Amino acid sequence: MTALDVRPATPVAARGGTLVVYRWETAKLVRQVRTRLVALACVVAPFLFAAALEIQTTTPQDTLFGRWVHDSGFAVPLVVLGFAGQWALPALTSVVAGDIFAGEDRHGTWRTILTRSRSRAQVFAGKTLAALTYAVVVTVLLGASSLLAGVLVVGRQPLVGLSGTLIGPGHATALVLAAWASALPPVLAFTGLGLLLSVAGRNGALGIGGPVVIGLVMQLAAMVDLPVPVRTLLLSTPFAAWHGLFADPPFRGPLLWGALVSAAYLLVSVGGAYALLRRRDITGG
Amino acid sequence: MRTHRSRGSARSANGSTRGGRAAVRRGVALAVAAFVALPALAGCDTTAVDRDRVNAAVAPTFANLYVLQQQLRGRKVAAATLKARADCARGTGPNASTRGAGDDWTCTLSWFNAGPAVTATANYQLHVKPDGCYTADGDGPSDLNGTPTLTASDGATVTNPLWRFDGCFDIS
Repeated sequence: MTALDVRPATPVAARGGTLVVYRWETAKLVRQVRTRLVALACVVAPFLFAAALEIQTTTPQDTLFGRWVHDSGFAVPLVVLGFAGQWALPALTSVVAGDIFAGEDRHGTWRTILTRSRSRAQVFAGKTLAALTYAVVVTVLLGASSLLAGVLVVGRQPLVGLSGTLIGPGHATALVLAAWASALPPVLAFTGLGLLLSVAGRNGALGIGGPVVIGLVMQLAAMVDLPVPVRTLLLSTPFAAWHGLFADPPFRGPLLWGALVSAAYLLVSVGGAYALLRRRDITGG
Repeated sequence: MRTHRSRGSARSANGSTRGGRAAVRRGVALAVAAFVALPALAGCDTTAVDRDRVNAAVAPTFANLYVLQQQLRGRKVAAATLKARADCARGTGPNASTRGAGDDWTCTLSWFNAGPAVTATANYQLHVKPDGCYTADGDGPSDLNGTPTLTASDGATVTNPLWRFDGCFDIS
């Protein structure tokens, strides 16, 4: 709270206020048609993709593991992960994060919610946690569904790794799950960018489209042969950190750096969003 | 009333909007600076892709896939006895180089086929991406890497692991 904006929080509001906002926001998200459609798409799309691959003989050769989609079911979730990291995951998470604050501007409801017994910090924390939860749920749904689609449609054959070694079904399952888990940090970082743009722009379109455009610009930059430190700082790099898991011997440095860089993006954008929201004058609207 | 309370009035004459605009200006300035700086940085020879890393990644990957291919054809070999070596370079003639991402890398693989006396070789064209992942495209001999599928010892048509293969190495 700034000196200009001192609102003595009552003890009741201070206790569990964030949790109340969080519950309320997640309840709203669960009932929205938009979020339900996204969840449905995350579950159904991998099965459609696997089925479409099955009925044709060609393979998506320009993606890692694309050549193996007919030979091992474990290649399917990795091809999906390769595509999803390019723009789908940033877009899916921004659908909620980019609008969760801007929606209050659109409906002109800031004064209504901020004059209730929840402080500005609690409203911010509750909404932020709801958007982060949604990001995790969407990533888990898409990852689990693509693994299931690969295993059920193609099968549990051993997978040829990125050093030519055969990876058995049990180990391949663990590696696929680890690869999808490694997408969580950059997804949460993009959620943070969506929240920041949602607060700063007061516009849902900017909040949803902004992170996607930022992600695509970083992808373009990553096509240039940049120095490794610059490449490490791009938010598109952590989405490829899982490659090292499938090499022999595996290398895990990119996973660590990806998590650190993503955490930095998340902290800076969420901190920036909070600073902007805290200073905002809502008396006019 | 409802339109009046929406964004229009909230945006006028308050500190946060000015702060927001300043943030947007800073963001644009940063983006412009990045676009100017990135090609300049790319011009420097700071690539993480070099011949040693490419050689070290391609040779064992080829050996493992060769073992797999021979297994499909019903012949048992061990990757270690092959002692596969890769000799990769980028471009040809006066533009030849040993560094940098590009689709003009070529590799000659050599390995001991039947005992230490008989050396076999194979050629590949490589597309090495800046992130350390590459695609190797078989360029002869054709019975080794010339066809996308091969007939396994049990008569089935299977993917030829040596036709094209992907791999990644650590650039950090």
